[in-house]
Amino acid sequence: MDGDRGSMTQRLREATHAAHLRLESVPFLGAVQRGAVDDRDYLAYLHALSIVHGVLETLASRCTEPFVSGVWRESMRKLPLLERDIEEVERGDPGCASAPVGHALAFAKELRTWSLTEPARLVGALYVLEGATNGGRVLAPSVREALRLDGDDGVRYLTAYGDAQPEAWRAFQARLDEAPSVQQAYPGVLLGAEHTYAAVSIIAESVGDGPRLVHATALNPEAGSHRVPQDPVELDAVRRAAKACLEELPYVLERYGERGRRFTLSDGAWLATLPGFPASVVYRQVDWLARLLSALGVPRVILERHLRETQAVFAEVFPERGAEFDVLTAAADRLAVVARGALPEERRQEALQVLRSAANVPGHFEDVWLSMLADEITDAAGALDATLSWLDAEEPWGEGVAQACRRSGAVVLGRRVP
Amino acid sequence: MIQWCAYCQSFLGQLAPFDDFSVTHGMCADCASRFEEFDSGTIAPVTAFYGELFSQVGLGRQIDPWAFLKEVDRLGLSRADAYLGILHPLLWRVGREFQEGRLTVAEEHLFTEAVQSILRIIGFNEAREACDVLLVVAPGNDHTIGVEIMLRLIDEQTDLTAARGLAPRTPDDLKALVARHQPRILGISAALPEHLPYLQSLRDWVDDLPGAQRPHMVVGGPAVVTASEAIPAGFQVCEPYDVGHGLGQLVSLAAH
Repeated sequence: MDGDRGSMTQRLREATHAAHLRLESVPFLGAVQRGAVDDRDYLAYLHALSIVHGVLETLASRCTEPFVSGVWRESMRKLPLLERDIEEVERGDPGCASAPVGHALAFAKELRTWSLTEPARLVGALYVLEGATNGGRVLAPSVREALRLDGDDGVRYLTAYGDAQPEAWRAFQARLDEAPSVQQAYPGVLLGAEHTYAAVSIIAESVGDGPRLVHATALNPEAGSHRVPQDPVELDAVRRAAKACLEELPYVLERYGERGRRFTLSDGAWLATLPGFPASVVYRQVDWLARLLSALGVPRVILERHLRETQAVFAEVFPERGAEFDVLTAAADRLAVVARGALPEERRQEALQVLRSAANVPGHFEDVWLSMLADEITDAAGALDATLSWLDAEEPWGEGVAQACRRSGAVVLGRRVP
Repeated sequence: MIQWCAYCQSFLGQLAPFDDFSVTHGMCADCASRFEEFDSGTIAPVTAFYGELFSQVGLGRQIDPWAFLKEVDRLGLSRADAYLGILHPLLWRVGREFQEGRLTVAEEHLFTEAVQSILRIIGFNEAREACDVLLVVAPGNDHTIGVEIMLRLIDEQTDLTAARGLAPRTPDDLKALVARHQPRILGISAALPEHLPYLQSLRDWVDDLPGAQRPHMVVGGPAVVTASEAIPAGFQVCEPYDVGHGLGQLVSLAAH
């Protein structure tokens, strides 16, 4: 630390004082403080913040830069709190103003580029958003009263640390002040903080602007921008299909946790928008997603099941439109044909036999692993190494599973699977 | 494949397979009239430049827009060839690498940001009011780079005037747009199939205009590859892989 110039946090506080005041002067935040906020504006604000937090927290938790990892702690995640608040405030109606969502998405893009060009800026963003929890406690009672909320409902984000707020903030400041290379990082942190103040100010200024709609980020703050159904009944059907898919193949939850659940939901919402296009267009779109997901470790069998579940649920909920959704089954059939072509039944049985040499391989993962092998044959998906590393590190079903997978992979691929 | 003239380092066009983004060599008509031997030229400097840019993307490094332009000049490439033979194929390639899990969202963003910076630096002479070609992106389509490249090509390579506008959302919006720009061609860029249903409304609104005011309708963007079946009648399709060909289509349409 540089004693002459003060600690990092002290310098940041002084340098960003004007930006902080500008944020506090945004009329929406004044309305929140006076207890004059309505649920639509509050929801739009929370929703936009969920996009910022969703992206920032994923980036910070994955960043290998010592300065960032020295400051970041898993306990700083606010997205789960925001998601619960949103659910409690929206009361089944996820639509909100589109302008703050657009601003949040633009800032999320900036955050992603910072993670490559100057990760120290991410710490500036964390400084602003972590510091906001100090003021959040003050705002919570007004919000609770204005929106007639009970207990912590809808204000979990504002009261993130509860009574432990002062200690949490002090601990954050200490980590920041003592992080490696703190002085070299200061210019980047300051820029990140200034940009974040500006971005949150713009978001807060626009809470009521733009047409009201259900955006993909209402289902998954990290989804980016794509089409989703707007009808609440269709959205319920999407949720049911995603839930059924995750129950049938829990690998996604076991490997990717809540993030996997969120992407299953937003991907499912997108799939539900495809019927209506010519079948060939639907097939190309599904093939595109299949290739993308398989490279990320989500093999085709999962998308295939998701398509079938979506068709089944929509046909049940909208019996008069049943035929419209058949194209999803046809798209699923095509994925199955690709898999069978890559891994004919005889080869599949050979691999299965080897896989079952480890008694603890769960049945649902057998399908997933065999599908990954088929994807590897089809388009060199390149997802095997990361999956095996995950099995080695996490051992979700105990020892021996990774080795059994390697052996079965060698049988199918005719080469050693490292 | 991306074909460059091995003699004068000019971009020749794209060859099938269009989703193969490797660089190959050929010979332009001018050089063919001057040289007898085909294989004595080289496109090594262009190939190296293209490869270096792509490797920077893969390493998560920001492409410096000024350094890019300097290298384009040093190699003696025209701006148009740099758009068509380097930036445009790189955009497709980066998209495919993202789909195949070899590039992250962040790396893709960083690259598109660099391309936008390059295009901003170059700029173009935008018609303020009346113009030959008015280009818009479909509502909800955030992908504007294709339109920006086309605007610069029109400016640099043709005698046409061009402007960009906001896609009309109502018949009155369209009337206002046509009254202001009086375009002979209205081009719209659609990235995803979900942007295409809008085209039907747009065509209906254009059909309701008085005959003399009706512009030719052109659609471009990746959706014309991925969802060609969903493009309504009345639109001329601009081949998105080959922007140079699309430019020729615009010039030819404007001449009618």
